[in-house]
Amino acid sequence: MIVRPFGAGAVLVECAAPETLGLLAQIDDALAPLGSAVIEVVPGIGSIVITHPLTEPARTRIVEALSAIVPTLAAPAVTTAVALDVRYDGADLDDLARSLGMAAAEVIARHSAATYRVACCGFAPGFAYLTGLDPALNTPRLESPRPRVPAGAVAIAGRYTGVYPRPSPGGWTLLGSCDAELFNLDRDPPALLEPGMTVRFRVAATGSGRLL
Amino acid sequence: MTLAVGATGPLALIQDLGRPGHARSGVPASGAYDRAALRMANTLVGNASGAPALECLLGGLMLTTTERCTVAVTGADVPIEVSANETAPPPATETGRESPDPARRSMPLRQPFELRPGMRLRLGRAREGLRTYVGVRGGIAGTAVLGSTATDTLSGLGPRRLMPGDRLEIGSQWVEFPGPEPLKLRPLSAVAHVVAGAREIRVQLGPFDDIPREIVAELLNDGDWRVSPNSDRVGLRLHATALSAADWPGTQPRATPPRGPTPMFRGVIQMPPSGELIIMGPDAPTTGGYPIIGVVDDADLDCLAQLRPGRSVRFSVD
Repeated sequence: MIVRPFGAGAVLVECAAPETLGLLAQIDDALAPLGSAVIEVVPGIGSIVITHPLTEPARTRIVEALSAIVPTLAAPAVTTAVALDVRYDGADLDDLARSLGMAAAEVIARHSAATYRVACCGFAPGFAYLTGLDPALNTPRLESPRPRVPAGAVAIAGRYTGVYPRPSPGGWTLLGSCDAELFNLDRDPPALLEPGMTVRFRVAATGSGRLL
Repeated sequence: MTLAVGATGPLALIQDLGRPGHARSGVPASGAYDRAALRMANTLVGNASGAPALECLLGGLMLTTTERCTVAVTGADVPIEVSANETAPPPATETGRESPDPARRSMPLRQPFELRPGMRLRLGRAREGLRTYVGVRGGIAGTAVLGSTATDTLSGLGPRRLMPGDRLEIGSQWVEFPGPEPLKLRPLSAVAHVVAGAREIRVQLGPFDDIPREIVAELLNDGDWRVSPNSDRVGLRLHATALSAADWPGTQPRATPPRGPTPMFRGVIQMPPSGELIIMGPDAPTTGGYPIIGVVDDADLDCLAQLRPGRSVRFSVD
């Protein structure tokens, strides 16, 4: 891990992408005693950012605490497993299957067979980047993003899969849809998926909309 | 007590100091773009400095009050007019000509003044700067979402933008005079700096070296950077007339493969392959994928709120 200054109010810890979640758990533990010297610890993939007040003592204490960490390189234990029921009726499913040279049923089978892990959130409240996608499904973002992707759309891009929490523009390839509320302000916490959780997609229906 | 919204101008929002602390769930901090102007508007009317106030783009706001209230206007330099309700006919003189309306008065920026029941506050078009803040004694009441009443234009959290016909309730976030915080009117405001052209936007390079820092420093220092009309609360976009996409340093051999999503916050500067710079605003997403080249000094963030499209921007790299 490499600790880098990130402006005057944050430090960034750089690490190998697969080590991020393990390091996040270690950093959460190491910084817990620092109280108000830490505003927030936010994971990316291959980086973790710690924001802090604009005072030198805060940064010094954070950097000291970080320097005591010996990365274990192990992914942390799974605390919460979430299963989402998906209707595989996405607008891009057939095009994707054709471009990958496989049947739509195989795309569905591969996507629903994997166990995913929430690596980080971003893009929108409650949007989780899920890692663990079958490499055979690796596909670039759409050349031009759609102006509107519906809430609950299950999509893939590059090495990731994810679920759109609310209607928004989006450039990911749409495989299906689900009814789960990814972000609900009446819940605490509002986000259904948080870094470290595992996620599985269960096949609720295929293109015809008929329940299997 | 309510304020009736008669007109909003291009964009009028309720803003406070935002909801930091939820980035792990993908929630942007949001909040006033020119934080100093928001604090000043609140302090002038005797509110807690982070109370919800109105953020108005370019002016054009019109409010009518049902009861006596104290307001102050800060930020972008707008004409401020206070008048009796427009339904009242103007008084006529004996010669039949309209006299100057004694009930229609200009008000100064950065000074508290009172509105009596039925009076109307109208902001003209901003002469300098971009964002004006209207503080009301008590603050604007609203349902807090994750601890803030701020409107997040990207994620849709918080109240929607104001519309003509809205009625705003006044809150109770006032403090006893004199308030706990000394009234600081200097530095006057971000607008003063922007107008004077004296302010360079200070940048700390990093955190990565994906694009070599000497190249970034040269681009920032020497480029003729101008504010793009595509700028908004999500990000301030800048383009340099001399820099085309072909000059983008990311295409040079030393640039590394793209990174995964990287956490961002207000002030982070991205340099996407288009050759533009994007400086993250209050409503910016919490992670990003484009190369990050630096962070704007916190003391210069409020200035960014007041930069109009087309304005030239100078950087100073540490």
